[in-house]
Amino acid sequence: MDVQIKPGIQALVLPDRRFKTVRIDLHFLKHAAIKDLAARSLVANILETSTQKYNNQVKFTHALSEMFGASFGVGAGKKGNTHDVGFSIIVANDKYVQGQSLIRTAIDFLNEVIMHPLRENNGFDDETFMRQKQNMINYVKSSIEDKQYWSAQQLRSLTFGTKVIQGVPGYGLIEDLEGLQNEDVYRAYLDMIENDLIHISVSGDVDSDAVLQDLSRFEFTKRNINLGTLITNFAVLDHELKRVEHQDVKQARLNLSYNIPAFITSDDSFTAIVFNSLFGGSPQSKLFVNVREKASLAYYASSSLDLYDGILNVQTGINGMNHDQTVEIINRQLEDIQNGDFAELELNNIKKGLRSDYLAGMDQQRTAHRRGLNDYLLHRHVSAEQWLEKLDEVTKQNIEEMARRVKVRAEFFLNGD
Amino acid sequence: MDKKEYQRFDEELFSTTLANGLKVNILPKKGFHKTYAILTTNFGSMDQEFLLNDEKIEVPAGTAHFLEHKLFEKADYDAFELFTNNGADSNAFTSYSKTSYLFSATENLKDNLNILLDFVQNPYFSKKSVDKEQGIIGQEIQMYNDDVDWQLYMGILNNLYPSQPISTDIAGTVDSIAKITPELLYKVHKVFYRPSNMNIFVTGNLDQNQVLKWIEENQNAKTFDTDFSFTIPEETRVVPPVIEEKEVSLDVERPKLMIGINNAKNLPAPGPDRLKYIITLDLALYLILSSSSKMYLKLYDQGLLDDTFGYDLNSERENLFLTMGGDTEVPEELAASLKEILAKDLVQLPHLDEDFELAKKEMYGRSITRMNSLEAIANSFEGESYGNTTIFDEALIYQDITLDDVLDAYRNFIKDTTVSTFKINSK
Repeated sequence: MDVQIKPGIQALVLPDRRFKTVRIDLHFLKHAAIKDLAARSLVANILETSTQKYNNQVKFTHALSEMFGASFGVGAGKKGNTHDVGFSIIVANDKYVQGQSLIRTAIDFLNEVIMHPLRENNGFDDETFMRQKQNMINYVKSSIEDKQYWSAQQLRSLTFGTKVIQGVPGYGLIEDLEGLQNEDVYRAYLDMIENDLIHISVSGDVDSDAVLQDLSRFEFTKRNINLGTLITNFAVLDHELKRVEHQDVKQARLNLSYNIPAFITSDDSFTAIVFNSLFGGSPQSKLFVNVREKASLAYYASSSLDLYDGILNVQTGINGMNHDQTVEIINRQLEDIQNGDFAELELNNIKKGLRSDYLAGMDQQRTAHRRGLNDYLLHRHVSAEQWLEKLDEVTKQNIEEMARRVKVRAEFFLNGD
Repeated sequence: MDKKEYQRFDEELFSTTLANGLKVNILPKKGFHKTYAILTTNFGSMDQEFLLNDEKIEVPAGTAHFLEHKLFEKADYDAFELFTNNGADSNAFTSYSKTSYLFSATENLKDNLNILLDFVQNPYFSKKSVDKEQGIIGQEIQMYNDDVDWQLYMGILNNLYPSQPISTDIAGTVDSIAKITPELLYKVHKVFYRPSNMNIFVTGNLDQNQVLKWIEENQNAKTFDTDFSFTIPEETRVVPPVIEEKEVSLDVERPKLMIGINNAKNLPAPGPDRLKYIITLDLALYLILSSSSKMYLKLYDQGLLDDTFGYDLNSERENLFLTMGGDTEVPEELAASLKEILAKDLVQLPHLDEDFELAKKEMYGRSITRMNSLEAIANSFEGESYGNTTIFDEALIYQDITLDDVLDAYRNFIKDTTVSTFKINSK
């Protein structure tokens, strides 16, 4: 059941008897600018820790324990040019907890978290603000310790530049974060709850009408919002962007990006999905087999797709000495696909794997929520049958043609000292 | 097959032991698209020595993990590829005491089961492929060496179990894996991969009778060389005392601290009581260390710890150890506070009765959440060491535990132990 509760507030209920839990996801979405990111991410962190009613962490976590250990989380991230502050809560189905209505309790809890944060004057509780700001600064600074993540981030800023939100991490810029005052963040919060697009989804062994009734407990007001297009087309560059950094690492990281002419809104995306799986997106892919298994060059070598921005990324962990050889092997894999140097059987196996992943996803609540949100944002509805059919229709020729239009964009290389 | 019913959760577990000793557990999940199967042997990185027909065999550190990688590769095929050709995902992992091989698939269940049983039970090792693997795993070890949190964990394990197999890295070292030969792998496989040392757990979209029949057919068609005697020699080396404190300096933004305790004196013999004891201790630790506890909040408010703080109670064979820690600006103060918390009797906690009831609710609910996941159901099955209990038993056990159980378990665990500290300072 997919209904608009109020203008700008959409609800999706997905009854499914197989699950022993009920999951509620709630997203606040905005077409965001770079400066929004740090403030909105900090809002997410602040809301996650306390409310007026649960004004310290013990009360807060006890409220979750009372709901039989509800899992609750707030996250911030990007989808193309859109910023998403997402809340999710998972509770046991009412039938395992002797007649309590955990769904209603969970909805009230989410409402409390979102609408009634701990505040004073025109800001959040100052102590909470200061602490969460410091925690987030610590987190961002520590992220350099995860070399794989950090290298991917460096590649991102190289690929997209630093003027668009695609080029910065979901949590924004550290200098923005450090400069944030309580009032700024509170203003971002008010803007979020008053003006963002809201998407709510509920899944589990539930009755749709009863759930819809319960969802009316949220104190959200109508809003007038149009997210616009989620897709950005980054023009192919005439020369490859390159950057090398040296750090005290034992394993070097080689990350590459490419333009790929495919976006989530078009049927080309199915060709891109199959291409990616064949190139580096699966354990049977050319990168995995040739870079890791045959040449023993790397522990990981894979590719991933960003269908909101038409970008393909490759990431490997190698011995720094083997840089040139690795690049050469990666290039050769792309050429092989361009030249059709792969068997129909290989293609069919790749499709089987994708088909299986898709079906397996249907056994998880979070996948249903994710697919539901995507469908809503992209103004479409793709049923499982349709998805699998589109997948099946991708031909060898489609893939060769797409591979020929894949153009290298940027390379980031983190090497040892 | 034996059938165990879990009426409250509307689930059934079917179990049997085949003629060759392989233990089979099947849990149907109607309506799911996927099936998940995991084949496990009681052989892990801790196993570093055995006697085969009275010949003493030294097993270099990292052998179990190396063998795990190597089993996928055969003379004329790669098991990984066979699975993917069947639309299945496969993987494997090695722990201190076990090695597991698994697949998940939405079709061709029979074929995939055969692939799993065949590639694990029919070894093929060549000099060439062993040499090549040394390169791949060498990279994997380097990757772990760059992971500071892993260094922190290995540091505390080394303090708790100095020079013992459990504190050597599961993947071994570049030097230790260089000693591995095909002959050694064959011997290890013969002894530790015999069917009676293994179990398989299958769950998902399946018919239990059919699955059992397929597994039986596969096993009946095989013969296993069981004409050998083997023993695990008694540990004769003197166990060195716990190292109380150690620190290293690495390239980190903020210092990291981990403290640990090892105490298996009260660990019950393998069986359901062992699970109950561990769950009971876990409840005690939840009361004092979880992010819901008042102590945690106090340290959090004082800025001694943050969200990176975590604790973990780990049981491996006859070992039981607790670790806790995270990033902190003030490692000394945090260590002192944690030691103080650990030393207090739980009875001194305010609102203990209420908090205990709440903790039970929490743990019961968490078990229910995990019941949605085929992986959680199958991976949490510990076989005989927990008396073949499942996640469904676990949920029910939580409801039976009393506050006195928790008080006792904690007192016994903490009594006469050395609290060890490992620190990583910023360079």
